[in-house]
Amino acid sequence: MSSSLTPEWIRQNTIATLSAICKDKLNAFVWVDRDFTMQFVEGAEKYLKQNKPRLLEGWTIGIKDLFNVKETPLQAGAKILEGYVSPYESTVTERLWSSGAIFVGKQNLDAFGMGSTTTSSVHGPTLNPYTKNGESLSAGGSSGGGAAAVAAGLCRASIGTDTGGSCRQPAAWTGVVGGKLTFGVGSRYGIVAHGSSFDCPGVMAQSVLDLATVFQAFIGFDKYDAQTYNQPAPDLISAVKDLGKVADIKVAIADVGTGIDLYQPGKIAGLSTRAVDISHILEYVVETYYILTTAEAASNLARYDGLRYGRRTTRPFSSLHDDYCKTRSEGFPDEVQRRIMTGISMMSDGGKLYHRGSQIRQWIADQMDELWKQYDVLVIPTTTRSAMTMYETKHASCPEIYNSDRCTTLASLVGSPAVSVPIGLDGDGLPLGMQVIGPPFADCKVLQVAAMIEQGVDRSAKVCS
Amino acid sequence: MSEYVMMEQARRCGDDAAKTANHSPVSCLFSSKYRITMGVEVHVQALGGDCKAKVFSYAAADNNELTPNKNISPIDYGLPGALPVMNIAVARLAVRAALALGCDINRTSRFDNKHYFYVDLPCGRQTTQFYQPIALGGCVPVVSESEEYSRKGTKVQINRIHIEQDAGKSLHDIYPDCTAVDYNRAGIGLLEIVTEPCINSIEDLVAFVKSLRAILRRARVSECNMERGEMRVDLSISVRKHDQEALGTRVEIKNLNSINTIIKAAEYEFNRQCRLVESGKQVVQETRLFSVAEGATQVMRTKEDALDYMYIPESNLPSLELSEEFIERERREMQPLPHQACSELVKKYGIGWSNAYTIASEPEYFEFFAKVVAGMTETQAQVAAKWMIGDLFGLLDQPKHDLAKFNYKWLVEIAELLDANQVSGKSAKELLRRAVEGDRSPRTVAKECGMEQVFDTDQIATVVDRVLAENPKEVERYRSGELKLLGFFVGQSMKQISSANPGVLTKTLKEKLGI
Repeated sequence: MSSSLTPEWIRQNTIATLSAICKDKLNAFVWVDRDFTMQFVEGAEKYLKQNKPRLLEGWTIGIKDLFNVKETPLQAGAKILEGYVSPYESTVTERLWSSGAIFVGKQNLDAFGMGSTTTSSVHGPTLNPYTKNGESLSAGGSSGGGAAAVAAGLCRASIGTDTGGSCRQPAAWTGVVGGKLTFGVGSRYGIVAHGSSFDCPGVMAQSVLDLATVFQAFIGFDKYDAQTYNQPAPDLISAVKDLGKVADIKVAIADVGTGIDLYQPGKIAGLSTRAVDISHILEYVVETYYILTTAEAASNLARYDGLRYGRRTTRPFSSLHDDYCKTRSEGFPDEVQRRIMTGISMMSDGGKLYHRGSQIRQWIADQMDELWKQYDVLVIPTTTRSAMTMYETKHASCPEIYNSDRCTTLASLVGSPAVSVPIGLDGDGLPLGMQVIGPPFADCKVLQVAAMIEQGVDRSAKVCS
Repeated sequence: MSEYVMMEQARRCGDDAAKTANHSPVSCLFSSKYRITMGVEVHVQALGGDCKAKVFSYAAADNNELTPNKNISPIDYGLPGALPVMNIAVARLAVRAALALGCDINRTSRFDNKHYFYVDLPCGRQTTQFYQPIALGGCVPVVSESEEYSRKGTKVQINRIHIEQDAGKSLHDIYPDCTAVDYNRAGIGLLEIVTEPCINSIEDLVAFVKSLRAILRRARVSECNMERGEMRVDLSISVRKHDQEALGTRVEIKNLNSINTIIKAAEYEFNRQCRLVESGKQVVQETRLFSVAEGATQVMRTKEDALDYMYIPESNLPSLELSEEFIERERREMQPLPHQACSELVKKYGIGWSNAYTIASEPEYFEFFAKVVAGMTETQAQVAAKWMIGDLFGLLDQPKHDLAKFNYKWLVEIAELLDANQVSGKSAKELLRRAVEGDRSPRTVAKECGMEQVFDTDQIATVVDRVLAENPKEVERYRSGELKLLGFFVGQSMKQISSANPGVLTKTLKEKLGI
């Protein structure tokens, strides 16, 4: 918030941003409207006549198309929400605008937040600014649009959702910072629900400090989300700026057999580190995650029937049941249908599989509690490999893609804060990320360790072959 | 498929046995051979003075809203991104119901989602309490106006009470070629009260529904106005031979919204099931609706089409935690329940059961009567009760509403005057009529109008002598056997001395007539 932040600068910067977005070939944005955006600029100009700059004054921010931003189209990457215009504002975005942020557009995603490649969207795939030998790469998912936009300098920060790693994994694949905080610290009101006990509003940005600043603007109790905490929000910005106490933090590093040469205990920015083995926990995370999220997703997506909003089938139907079947089959892409069907299986027949999944989830949390007795944070890779090529995304099997979430779903299962920091490049020159995870409510510590790692790494250096 | 469409189909396919059904009350033949077993699920809406919003939404809970789709928040319309938030007022009403019905209250209860698709269910799921409801167990003492029936001490066991959401309304008759849906009702809180299958006669069923309604009204849970849909009943019925221990296959009849339809549906279904069993056929486990027009129950869905509701926890809502203070406060404020109040009136004042029942049945009557009867003797109280119900009610347009405006002290005075024999019944009626019209205290009016009864035998004898002298022919006829003419003499005497005590007058007449 420097004194050089003037209304003129905000206007110029916004206009330049919109121009760049117009020329974007990555397909990071799905809806941009100059007039709508300039309203924010005008609002800022008016505000600054009488007031000091706010926390995010002038920050250009893109929003994943899962958030209700009043009077903008919300399509969640699927046909079934064609034509839906948000009649109300999500809490997260409302707080961003109150902090002076400038809305620059809705960003691409995997439909309904389901996917790790941003290839299931009705708007087409989003590409990674990085390429491999001239080949196009996926930006990751489901918040691929947001990550690519930040990586390509198209906006200062992006807001996404992180249900099983959807902000962290694309951040890692595009070489930016991305993550989520403790479940319940950010409000989910106004965000299209995927897995209600997993969804978190997430952020992607170029630095840990930027990330922390954006989070600070929107976290905290929300009476419209019963799972938020009626407690003062933590002071993330101070934590990140004041890294003095960080030496006391005990770091566990888990070698997850990725072959990425990162984990020399003792070398991470001078922190005291110890190698741990969590393979016995990681063995179960993907299956448990998909058992529970597919069920919760099937439940959350039951409301989409084209009757009150969105796209209803235009084919003739013989009964109400037929109407529902046609509308939903036409309106949801394959991946979403696959997850709904899987979720139905999990919930059927007394919900045996779902309940078993819940028990294993509790077991995983208990195992992590044991870890937290000895360590303050856990550091593991964000992903097991760098970005897939577009070709690979079309030919990889579903289990293969799901299994690639093994590193990120852990934090989602236990409600932990988790942030991915870029730590260098692989043999192909593609970015890799390192993930800092902490127990619930250790948001400040996680950001501090992430900031320290960020300080100590060279993002352009190769860290493995 | 809409209920309407299903009903049409059932009607056209011809539920044949049903169509030729005998719609008259339970036939004696069947009752002698089969017994009926019933259980009830009652849905009570949570709205009114103490609960103004819906159960998980801030939108107004109001059945009187005429503009469709006005009282809706994002969650009531199933908008993307909408979230439920608990309205604790609904839990308060649930606690009152649980206390009034003697249930065990779970200090911790949870919410689950029940999944199915229908146009009136905006989220494709109903948030309810399946695994851990707010209350378990309980018992309803069943009474009626009949003392004989009430003395049997019938009780209906309650299985559970839980909180859930109401659905919207689908209206098939507004437009010619489609169904209109109004979500004003979607998301209004419901208390579901489930009984054990322990209701063994239609008489018990009716008395139970009425007793439950009276209790819930008194406990300030709901007005339970069935016409407005504030209380709805789903009925489960099975039949079995008298000596058979195992219950028969049960059939559920949904959405009965008046005592009358409950009776008709139960009778029809009992006959239908008995007829099936008699002819060697099986009763199919299914869900039916009662068609008022047809006077018959009709299939809505069978067990084969039975839906798997796939209950899973509702992750958006934390568990509902009730503190001891929350519960105690409701316990402290609980009024005596109707059956308790009724018994008390009978025991304390010797008031007849039927009158006591009537007074205890409405909070307004009971509160008024409590003021009237404070400090009265037994006989005075009995008189007050009789006159309140028999006469005062008749003079008021809407007793429940108008009682509060009537000065209870006037009824006290009238009861005292009557009990002390200071006015005749006829005079009392006149005093009451005047009191309702806003006249001064009955005692004052009685004195002024000379209504106070005359007991003075000399005064009465003088009048009697005159009357007999003026009517010699009638005296002749009376003495030759037309004893009915006593009434004539009484009438003639009353014309001359209107406040003569009837007892003394009659005695004097008889003496003077010599018979």
